[in-house]
Amino acid sequence: MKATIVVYSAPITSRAPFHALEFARAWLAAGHQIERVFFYADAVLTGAASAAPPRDEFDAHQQWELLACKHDLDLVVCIAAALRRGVINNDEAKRFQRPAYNLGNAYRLGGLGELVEATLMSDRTVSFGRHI
Amino acid sequence: MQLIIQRQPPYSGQNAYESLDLALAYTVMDVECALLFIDDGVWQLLRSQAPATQKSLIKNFAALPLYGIEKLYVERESLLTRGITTSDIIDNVEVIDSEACRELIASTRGVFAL
Repeated sequence: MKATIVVYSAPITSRAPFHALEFARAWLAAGHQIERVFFYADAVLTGAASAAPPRDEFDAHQQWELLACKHDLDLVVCIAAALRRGVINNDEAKRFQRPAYNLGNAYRLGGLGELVEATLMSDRTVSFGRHI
Repeated sequence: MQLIIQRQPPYSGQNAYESLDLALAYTVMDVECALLFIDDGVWQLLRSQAPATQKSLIKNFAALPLYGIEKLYVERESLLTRGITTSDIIDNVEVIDSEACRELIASTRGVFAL
């Protein structure tokens, strides 16, 4: 079965990226596929490679990156939500003349249309926010 | 049909706007979408809101039919517990009880609650 995973809430201030990751691991372990993982609203902060949590704490950015590399996952960070919150790639940093970019290599910026498209191609859409 | 649930108060962050953006993204791609307001989300529907600095939600709601979003629902119990009457909220919103909300959610293919 194919699933689209949507995450709404930020790492550190919520557990949504963690719960979504645990679900993704279990889903893949059960032999299913993931069409796309879409980070929306505050969850776009998951894409920031500039976060450096203490080593003994959960690192949402890094853990999603590892899973994405292992299973060739498409990690999409909503571009409009990301720009508002300071998550930015090299192209956007140039366009808006910002001093640095921070989007991790395993992630890419994309529009809400990519979320819509993915949900239409999936058997299930599972979302993770503050309320779960 | 997709259902976007609004449960956060207006003007407390990006939540209301980003929920609307999500609804519009579906209708732009010809997928039917409805909005359901529950809990503190019902405050978004107040007729008499005049935000000083943020974008007015009222204008956004007024434009929804142009984008093909015609179904707005609000939970009766959420209004009652907050002392909000139907004359306090904008037109063209259907008031439904919590049982009907449950049925609506259960009968909808995709449910999003930011």
